[in-house]
Amino acid sequence: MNSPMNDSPSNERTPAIDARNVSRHHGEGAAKVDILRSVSFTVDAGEWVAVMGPSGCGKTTLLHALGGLDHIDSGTILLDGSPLSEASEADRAKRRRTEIAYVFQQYNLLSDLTALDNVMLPLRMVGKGKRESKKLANEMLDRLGLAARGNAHPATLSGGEQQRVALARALVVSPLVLLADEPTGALDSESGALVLDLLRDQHRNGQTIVMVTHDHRVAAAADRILTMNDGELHDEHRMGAVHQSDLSNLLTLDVD
Amino acid sequence: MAVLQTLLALRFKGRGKLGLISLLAVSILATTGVVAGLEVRDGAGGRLDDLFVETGSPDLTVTGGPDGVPQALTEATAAGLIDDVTIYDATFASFARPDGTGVGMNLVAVDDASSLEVGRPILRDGRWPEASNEMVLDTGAALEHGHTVGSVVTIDRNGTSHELTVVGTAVDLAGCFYPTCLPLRGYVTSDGLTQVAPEGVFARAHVRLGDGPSEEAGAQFFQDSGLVDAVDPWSTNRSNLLLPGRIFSAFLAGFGAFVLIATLLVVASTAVGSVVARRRELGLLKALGTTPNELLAVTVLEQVVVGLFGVAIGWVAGSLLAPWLQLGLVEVLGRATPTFDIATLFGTALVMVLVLVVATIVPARRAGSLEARAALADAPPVAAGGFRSLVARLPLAPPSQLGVQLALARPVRAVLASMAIAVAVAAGLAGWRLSSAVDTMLADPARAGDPYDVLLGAPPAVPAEMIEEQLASVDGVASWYTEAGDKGRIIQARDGSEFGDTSISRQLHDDGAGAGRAVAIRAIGDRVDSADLVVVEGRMPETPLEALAGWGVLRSGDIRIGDAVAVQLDGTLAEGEVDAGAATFEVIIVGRHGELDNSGDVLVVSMPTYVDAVGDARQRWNVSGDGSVDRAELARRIERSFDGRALVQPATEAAGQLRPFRLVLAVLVGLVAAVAAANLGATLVAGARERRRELGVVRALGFSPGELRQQAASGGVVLGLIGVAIGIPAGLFASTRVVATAADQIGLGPGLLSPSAVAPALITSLLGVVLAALVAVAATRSLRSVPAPELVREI
Repeated sequence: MNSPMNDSPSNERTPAIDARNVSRHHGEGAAKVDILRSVSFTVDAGEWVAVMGPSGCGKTTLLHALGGLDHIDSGTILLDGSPLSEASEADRAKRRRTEIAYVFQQYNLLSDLTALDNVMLPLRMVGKGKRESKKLANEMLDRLGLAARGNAHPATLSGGEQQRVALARALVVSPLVLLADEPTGALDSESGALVLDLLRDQHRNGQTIVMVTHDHRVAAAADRILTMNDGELHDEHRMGAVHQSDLSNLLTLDVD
Repeated sequence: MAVLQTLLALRFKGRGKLGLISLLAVSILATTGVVAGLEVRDGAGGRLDDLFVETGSPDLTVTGGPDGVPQALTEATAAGLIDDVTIYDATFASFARPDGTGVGMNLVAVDDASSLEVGRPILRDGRWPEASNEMVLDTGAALEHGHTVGSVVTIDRNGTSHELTVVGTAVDLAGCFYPTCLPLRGYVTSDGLTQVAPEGVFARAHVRLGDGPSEEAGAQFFQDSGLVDAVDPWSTNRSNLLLPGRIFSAFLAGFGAFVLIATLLVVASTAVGSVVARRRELGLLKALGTTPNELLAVTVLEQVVVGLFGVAIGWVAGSLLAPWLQLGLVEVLGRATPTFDIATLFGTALVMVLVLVVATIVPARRAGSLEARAALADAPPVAAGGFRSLVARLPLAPPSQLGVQLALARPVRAVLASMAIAVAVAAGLAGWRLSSAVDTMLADPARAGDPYDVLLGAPPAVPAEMIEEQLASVDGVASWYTEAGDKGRIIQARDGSEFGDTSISRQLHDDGAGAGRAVAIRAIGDRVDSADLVVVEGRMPETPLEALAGWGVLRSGDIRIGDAVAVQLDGTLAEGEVDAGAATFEVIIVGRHGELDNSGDVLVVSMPTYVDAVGDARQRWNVSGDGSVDRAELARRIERSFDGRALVQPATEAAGQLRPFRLVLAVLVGLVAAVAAANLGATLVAGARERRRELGVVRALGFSPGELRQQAASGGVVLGLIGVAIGIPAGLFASTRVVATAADQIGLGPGLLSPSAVAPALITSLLGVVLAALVAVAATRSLRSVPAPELVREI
């Protein structure tokens, strides 16, 4: 089941992400290992897609390829109808500033900058002035309940707070696509639930999200779940067609 | 111990190659400098002492008339002073250099070299002369002018030229070597000597004293006899021979010490970087049961093991290098055998271990006290925030601002990381200023006491008026003054004679060679100011009773400007000049002039004062050109105008002996800069490793490769500026101290070597900042292609 996308209903709108036969491998000859094998799928604008699968199945590589952080060996990735995979490194970098945002399991805040500086950075990079950047960053921190923590350094924040700052940094430029790699993986259940609520809020506001996760409860928040195994898309489940009660069993089988 | 060995092996595996290489390079360089400096200092003296014994221990060289010297020797033998003696017949001639100019030569008769018991020259090439047209040439002159066995050379004596074939080269330890010292030596048969100087010869004797009398007593006996013209003790000669090497060894040892300090700073910096970059690894080791003390020990040992490898290599390199660096000796005596002194190895190793332990102990303690939980969680320590509000105000593009912000986030670490660039900047600045100081001397020989281009030794019995009339007719001659040289001792100094009428006599410090202070006397023209000597302190003499002194005279402080000094002449003159007898005169020292001859132990007096004391003086003319022709051409023109009957030679630059230092200096500074750049690279690569995840993050946020370079370069510029802020004052201080010490050692004293500071400081600063930026970009570049995995590194 290599190309679930081919069976998906057609959509007249341009997909936010259109991945076609994407392949990626490491090494050559006998040492060659396929990480992604002709992966194809689309993500509609405003859709929330969760990608699940066992460790090493290629989820994170796929996420990095979608964001242009990693190159692919063959295939095409279109972002909002425009090819990303063939673009130069500099062009990919420019598109990451405005169209793509990342949230990582380990937060990946710049430890020597304050929370406010971290959120201001993407705004400064798209050319916003210092004053405007500060205002927008403060507003975003306020929306995520971190108004009082702007001057704190990451090392003094809890995991949940750090992930919320990371989310603020990702969302502050209103990206076309939010790529989230295990956003709740390093958090306790309470903080994880809080972050998930924030993602739901964003999704309700029309944010396109692609999220890698091991957690079926988190995946259940998505519109669609893609499962991967050995570098291939293995299955696709639309949440409307799956009963929540069946999800755990279904995903347990797929993932484990 | 097994635990430590295991830990050490693990730690080395995780360490960056560049860091190890730079630590090794710094250790090698520091050890090489220290070992070479010590070996040059000790080895050259020991080697000379061995050769002195090998050549029959010539304690004194006595020169004088063919009757006077044998008579003096007879009296000395009767007094029980002499153990053995060898007498040579000799004459004074002019040796024709390839450019056609002449240089003074002592031509010595040697018929049977095997019979020479005392002071026999060391034959370096070929054989001793057997025919009257054969000669063994001074090795220094042969090397300088490209003569080898088989060359034909020309000797002039009283206007007659003689062609001789060089059959060998030899070194005579009874005098320092040409071209540092004149006259040079040539050895012919007795028949050959008679052909060159049929009108007569003078005698030269090498004396080995008996067990009883000291060298000073022996010299005094001959001086007091009134039968000889000159007495040169071995100790003076030895000191002259070792002077260049002594200065150079002090410089090398100073260079080694500088690199040791640099090592301390750089090792401290890389050790901190290493500990920070490997926090997770350290946390893991602690989690596996490693104690804080074991981590501390292994962190120190890691540096020490590498450092000791460097010491071993540097010891071999320094020992091998030292024989090449015995300036003034290696050229004429050939290279000595490396000594590989074990005591030096252990001493240097001990110092290096101390330096490394001191440099590493703080980061090692930090490694030991690391909190395992935080380290394993890879949670970085809280940044101090350094200058956040200041940086925020800087009008910089986001990548540059981020680079500056990250570089300054931890000020202490930033200072440590910038140490490598500080070392490079300090070394570059110091090297530039030292080189510039040498250039100053070379550009203006007057600063070294040689304000002339050509020396003219006029033929005897020609009136001075005629000589000067002749000189005035030579195209290219601008001016001249006359000079006569002598040796004497300042036997008494009285305070402030110029500024009051006090007359407090002082006991002068004994210089170890007899009562009073030995000085060279330069008697100049009608007035001292007829020579363009450079007066550094006080003023130019205005009357015949006033004099100038070199720094060597004033250095010890017991003779000062303003003093009236009583001078007793030795009664000995340079070979071939008149005997002044043991006359005395008194002058007032009114100023200090730049003087490099005789280590600055020189008193410049007016010719009338000197002639009043001695009755007569054989003068030479020091001629300055108008700049239209070079020295050699000016000398040739003067020689032609006197039909070859006068001894004419271009002035040798006393400052020329500084030339080799400049080349070596440039090489050493280059090495320091290279090591500093490697260290900077190691520090920045360690920093970049530490920031791998951050690099990945900013790439994920949309930094392009160009912006990453911009960010890295901005951080590098900040480190470079900190390095410059530390390195420039350090370099200025170090170079000022080194220049002052060198000027003091060579007898120039303060005030003459004042290298400029502004241009070197500005340019070195600029280069330092650019270097830091380039290395920072290069260090980041090596990591740029692999940030993605860093973003998902899991605990």
